[in-house]
Amino acid sequence: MSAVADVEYLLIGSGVAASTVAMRLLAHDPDTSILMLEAGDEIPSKDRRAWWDFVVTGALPYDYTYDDDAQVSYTGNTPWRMNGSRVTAYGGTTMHWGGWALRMKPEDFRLRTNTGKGGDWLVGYDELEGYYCEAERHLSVCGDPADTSVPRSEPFPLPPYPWLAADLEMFEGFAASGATPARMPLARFRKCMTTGTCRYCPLGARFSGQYVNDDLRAGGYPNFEIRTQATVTGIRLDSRRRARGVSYIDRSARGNGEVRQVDAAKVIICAGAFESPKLLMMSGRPFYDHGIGNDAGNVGRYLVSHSFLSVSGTAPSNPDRVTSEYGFPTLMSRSLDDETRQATGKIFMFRNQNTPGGNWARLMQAGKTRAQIDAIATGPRHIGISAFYEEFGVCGNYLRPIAGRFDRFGLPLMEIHFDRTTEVTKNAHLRLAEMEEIFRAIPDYVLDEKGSKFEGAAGFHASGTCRMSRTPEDGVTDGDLRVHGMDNLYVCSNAVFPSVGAVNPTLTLTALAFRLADHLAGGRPAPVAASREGVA
Amino acid sequence: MISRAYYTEPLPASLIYSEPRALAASEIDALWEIFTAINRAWSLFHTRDPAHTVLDASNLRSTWLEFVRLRAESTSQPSYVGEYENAIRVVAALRAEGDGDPFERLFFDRDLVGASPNAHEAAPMSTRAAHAKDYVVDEFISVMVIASGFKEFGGRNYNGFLGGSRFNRVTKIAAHVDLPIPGVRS
Repeated sequence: MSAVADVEYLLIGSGVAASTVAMRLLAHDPDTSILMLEAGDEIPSKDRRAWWDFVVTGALPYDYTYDDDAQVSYTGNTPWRMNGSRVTAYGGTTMHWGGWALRMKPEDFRLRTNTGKGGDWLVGYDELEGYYCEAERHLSVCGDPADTSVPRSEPFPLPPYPWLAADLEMFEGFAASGATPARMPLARFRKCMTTGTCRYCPLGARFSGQYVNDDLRAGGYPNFEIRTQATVTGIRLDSRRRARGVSYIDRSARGNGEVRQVDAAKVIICAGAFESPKLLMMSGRPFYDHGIGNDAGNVGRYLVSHSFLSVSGTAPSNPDRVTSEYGFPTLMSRSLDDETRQATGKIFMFRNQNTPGGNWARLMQAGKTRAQIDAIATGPRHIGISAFYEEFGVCGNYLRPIAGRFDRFGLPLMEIHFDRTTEVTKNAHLRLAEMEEIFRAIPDYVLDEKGSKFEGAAGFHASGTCRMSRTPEDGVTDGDLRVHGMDNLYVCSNAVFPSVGAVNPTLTLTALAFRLADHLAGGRPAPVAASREGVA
Repeated sequence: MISRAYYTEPLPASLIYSEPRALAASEIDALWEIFTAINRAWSLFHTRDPAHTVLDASNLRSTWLEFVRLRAESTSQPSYVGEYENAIRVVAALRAEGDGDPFERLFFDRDLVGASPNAHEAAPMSTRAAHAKDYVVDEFISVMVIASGFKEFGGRNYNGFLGGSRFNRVTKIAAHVDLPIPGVRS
């Protein structure tokens, strides 16, 4: 540790990235000093009252942490929705994530080389593959041993969820269209009881960074500490190359809003694709005029997220009373997530997990009689296929903090500018047409008029805002996730992704977090990450 | 006697404020009566004996008790004690009026409880009856459906239902195994 630093590592954020980095660093050296600063509050997990509240009213104990759309200033030609996208709390967005844990494909790491669009990663699939295996163990991913969608050196840690009745009718449509149905890899511990209330699991059966942090706190690590309600307001510098530490507002009852400072030998920003660039832009004076690592103006740019495609259709009856029995999809396909479609935008398809519907409680509440509900249960059956569509990061799409305006956590409000080109819209409709073709081949179903949708952008899966690059002229961090021009400042977040492919980013981020921790530990042989099975 | 004026009395749409406390046995009984009336109205749970088929929700009582006690007694906000007191009085007022089954009116009479289709989407004009419907009846309906009532409509699983592990269960009994007795040939 530096002679003047309070801690060796200072982690900003407490979600999957920060918790994984901390866990791995402590596995390398249990005595190393780590301080984790989290802007949000600690929200109890597995609380029966909170679970019942969620089940009967839909209210989650962390609802209040979601962004208020009115707090974000939107410009550009495409609406962007933030509300419901991320959780600002201890454990981060893994408090509410669905646990869909997919690897990116090898070609996703070479997007620019292959297509001339977006950016290339500075780490390839082959290098990351071992870390993917560790990430799958860490998150306890249940997947199909026969899955060949990506090369893998180890099987999934747990077997997949079974097909549901609602999945089976889609098979013919997939087969007729040459698309391969596959089982969704899901991060679930063995103790999952399939309640479908994964956004607040009563059993803690779906990975959350909160559980890792709790274990580290209780794990006998003498120099590990987490402070919640600690909103970092700036990175403090010793020089143009060295971070000295951070300033933060202590929002806790005892802290009374005081501004505090902590010095650290290394600072790692694990604050997601929105807060990480904002923090860099708000820091750096007097050594940087426009923020740390932002001489070329790339911080906050290349903002991209997944767009949402959906098609739906209806069959005349539902004699077997089939409903969607889980709150998560078990059927997916990566057949249209392939290299031939990379230049025009790949998609990752899955059965809409909310269909076929069957909200019997709501019908009873609305005053429907038993006979009326029975008629609805056996009446027209409505199903849908949805997909994430890969868009490409472009320099003109950006976010930036709004000077002098802050949210309830003391985080700066932001402006988001997002333009979508006519080419992107045209390509998305090509993919929609392919989804419609699959749907038409499902026996008995007729596509819903106006059921095919290409929606606006949203904050979930956002990435690219501190993207890795060979030079500071083209990005913000290097291949080791260190901010260009800095010796001891790192970003570990979706923000560093130069491209995100068509799949959910959390598994890839977890793999990157393992890799970063090993790099910080000096490339020493890594202790193998154990499964968290039976721990959470 | 509680009159019609009681249950049509306007109230704010928000939850009735109250301090958490343990419910009295008589209150538990009165609330359980609402729960079992829901079962009767939609014919969800039956107990069959040789002579009768009886609508019976008693297997759900422990689940339901956990639910109402957590809502009344826990320090988590908000407390539902006020809503529960209100619902009990609304049922009493409807019963005193004698104009049909009080529960049927509470469940199906839209003029009485407002147009609210489900919990917490309060009708433009909220009354004591509307509160009883939104915050008590509708939540009890959710509990009943989640706790396995959905199976009556044909489903095998439902959001909120603790469906059990998908992995093979370990044997839950100590199985007898014949052990060789020393010196005795089997």
